[in-house]
Amino acid sequence: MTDLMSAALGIDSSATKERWTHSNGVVIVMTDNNCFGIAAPEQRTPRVLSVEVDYRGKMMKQDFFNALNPYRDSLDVDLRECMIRVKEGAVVLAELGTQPQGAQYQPWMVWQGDQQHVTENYVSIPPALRIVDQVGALWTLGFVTAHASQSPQGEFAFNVIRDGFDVGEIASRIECRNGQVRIFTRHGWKRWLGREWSS
Amino acid sequence: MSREYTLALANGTLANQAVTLAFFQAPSAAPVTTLEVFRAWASQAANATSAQQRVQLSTQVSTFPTLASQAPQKIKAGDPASLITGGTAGAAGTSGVNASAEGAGAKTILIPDAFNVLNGWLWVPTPAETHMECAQATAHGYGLHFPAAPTTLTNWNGGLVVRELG
Repeated sequence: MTDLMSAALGIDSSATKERWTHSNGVVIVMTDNNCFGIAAPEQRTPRVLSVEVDYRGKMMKQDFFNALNPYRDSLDVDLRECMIRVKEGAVVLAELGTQPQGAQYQPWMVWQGDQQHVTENYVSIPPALRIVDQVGALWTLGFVTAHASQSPQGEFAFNVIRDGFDVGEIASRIECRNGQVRIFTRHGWKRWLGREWSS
Repeated sequence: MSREYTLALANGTLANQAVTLAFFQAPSAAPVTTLEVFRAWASQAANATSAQQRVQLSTQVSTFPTLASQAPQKIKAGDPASLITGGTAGAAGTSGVNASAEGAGAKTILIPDAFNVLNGWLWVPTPAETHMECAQATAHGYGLHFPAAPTTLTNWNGGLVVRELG
């Protein structure tokens, strides 16, 4: 069928690779020499259709044609990175193309799976269970209950855990404030400076 | 001398209903001990979708939840095993996690709260606010409870830290 359609569309049928689609009475054919054609084989009455060409996710061409006659065009961009869309008004009749990003799309260019959640400002442990800081480190309180002499007065305090490792501090609270992690110890607030605590 | 234990649900799938994550009832027969609850937590690891979740710490009279048997685990290696044993019926001296049925017993809410599942939830009272559980005339247990099913049911962690006194 594709050969017949290519001939009807006047597209070079010697092109080794064709892609095509047939939807809602509209046929779109692409060849690998950057030509494409559109036809509505069953159309017997005048009908205005529009064609839109997106290149790498951005519209680069829009045109109108009478569905009684085939539409042909060639582009100076790689059709493998284009999406061709035939519409009647706002209704899409047929579409043929690749990812919006085109052939240069790589999976790592977009988030794969769940995104890492960076904890919002002013979140405090407790009542939160954990905090994820700007560099993706996970902070929480451990299960070692500190002696009262090591704890802020009137509060239970525990060992501070960062990515599963005890950082050697005892605190009753961990907070995320202005992009920094700080802990409340018996000696007051301490801020994490990346490799050490502020005094 | 006191000993601390965790009663924890690890990476569980919850029933699509109001659900108890962890539950215990103090022993009513010798050796009787008082249990002090001084920590509770809940979190999920299924996804990074923000959602709000209600949580409660509550006591419940019979009938108790139907649980997966889980005994409290000692935090300090040198401590003896907990006086509480694993059980499915919430009976005196037993504990369990991840209820499949809540039981018809009335709950008394001690701590109602809500949290965003991305941050998890941690309850740490001041020393004066810890909850004490011991055998009483009307048997009741203590539980960490979601009064509404979470949006995501999988990969939930949660539990209680209790101290056995005496």
